[in-house]
Amino acid sequence: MINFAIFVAVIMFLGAVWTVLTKDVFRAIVIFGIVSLMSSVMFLLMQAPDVAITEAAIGSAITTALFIFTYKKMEDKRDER
Amino acid sequence: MTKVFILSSLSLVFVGLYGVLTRKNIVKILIALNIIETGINMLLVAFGYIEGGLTPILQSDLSIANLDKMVDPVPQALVLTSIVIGLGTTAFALALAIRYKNTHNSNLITATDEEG
Amino acid sequence: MNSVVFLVVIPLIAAFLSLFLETKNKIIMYLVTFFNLLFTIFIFKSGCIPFNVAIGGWKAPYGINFVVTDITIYFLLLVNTAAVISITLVKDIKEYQFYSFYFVLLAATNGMVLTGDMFNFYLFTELSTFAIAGLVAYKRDRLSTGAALKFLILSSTASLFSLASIGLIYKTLGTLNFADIAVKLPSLNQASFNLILILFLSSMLVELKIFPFNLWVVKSYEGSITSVNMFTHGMLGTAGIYGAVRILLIVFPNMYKTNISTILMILSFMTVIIGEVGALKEKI
Repeated sequence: MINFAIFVAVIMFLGAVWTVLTKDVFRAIVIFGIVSLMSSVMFLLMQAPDVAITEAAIGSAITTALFIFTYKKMEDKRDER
Repeated sequence: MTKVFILSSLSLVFVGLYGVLTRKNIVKILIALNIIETGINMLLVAFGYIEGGLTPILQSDLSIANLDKMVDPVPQALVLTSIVIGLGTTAFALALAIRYKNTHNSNLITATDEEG
Repeated sequence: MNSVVFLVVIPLIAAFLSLFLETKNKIIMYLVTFFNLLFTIFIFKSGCIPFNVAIGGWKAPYGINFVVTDITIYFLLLVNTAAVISITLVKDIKEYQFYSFYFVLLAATNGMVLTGDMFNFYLFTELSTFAIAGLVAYKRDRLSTGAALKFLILSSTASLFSLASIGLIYKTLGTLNFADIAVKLPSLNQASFNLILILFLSSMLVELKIFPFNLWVVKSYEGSITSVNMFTHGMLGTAGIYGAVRILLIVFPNMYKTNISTILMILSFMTVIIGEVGALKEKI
């Protein structure tokens, strides 16, 4: 079990570093969704299933969707002015 | 186990803090803010974890005997509230970001904002 | 005096009602604000101070409670008087968004003064942050949008630090109630005490507009309308001062030669001096 926890933690850390350092904003949004999903697995390993469900639904799905909508809207405005 | 949880959440907090302090794109700053928030939530739940703990749900009469082996449910309740508050902050900040793009015609945020 | 909860609940109900009442919003705003002031005066005159209210019947160390002591009631009067004075400057505003954010701000500042629980204080602080950012962005031009976005990012980062300090308090002391923290505090060692204090002080300084974190104030005062400046300074400033007084000076008293009063005094002097120097540099 502890090997699995270390594996998930390393994926989460590398994903966070990649999210912060990458130049492409869309790639950063998608990798942030993966980081959030991995944190949901960590919540499950900490014996907190209710927090894991909430994090997978809100932190991973709805937040990523909001970011993607905002990204699309901000890119569409490029040709004005 | 507890060390793995606390170290991973602290690493998320510091990576996100680096992102908030150094990035210039608004969406990247808000993503970094969300990474800090995930780290702080994991830190709070990890504070309530005990080695080999059980899920704090009373399933049958037998689970009354295991009350002292269960993890602490109070930080989990706090974190549930905190996740929803974070969603509100993110949605509001993204709405402001769209208006920022419309008025400034740029999605970079800088310290010396040229007025005009 | 269970009805002290009305000071928080009625502005929140009005915040949701203001979406549907388009032209009557101004009347509702005057009604709710005067109700808050008159109810505070009624509590002040009723003579049953101090008391505390356990919400939902859960007693103090386990549930959330509202505490009214003889210093709380003066700050409650100050916050509601500032609200009454500053709504007289609201003119010619027809959008419901302004009134909705104002009601949320009124509920949040009353709750910040009344609450007796650490996590509840964090929630009300976050709520007032939303409301102030929305009110600053109300003018919809270039300057106000940038000011609101910068304030929102700075204040969200600060409240995450305060959430970390709340987690440390729960880990070390096992409670989040103000009175219970003050009782159990002597069993805390010096390193944890200093860490909690640094994290919480740095998050409170943003609300208090003290020197290293006060650079958002200039842009947000410049970019917002006059009544919003009154809200920011009168209501949020007063509630933040009360939070600092109660949490930093009463709940965490001077232990281990860490003199918080001296630190706050030095930072305030630096704020005054640097603010004056910055005002001299401004062009008219």
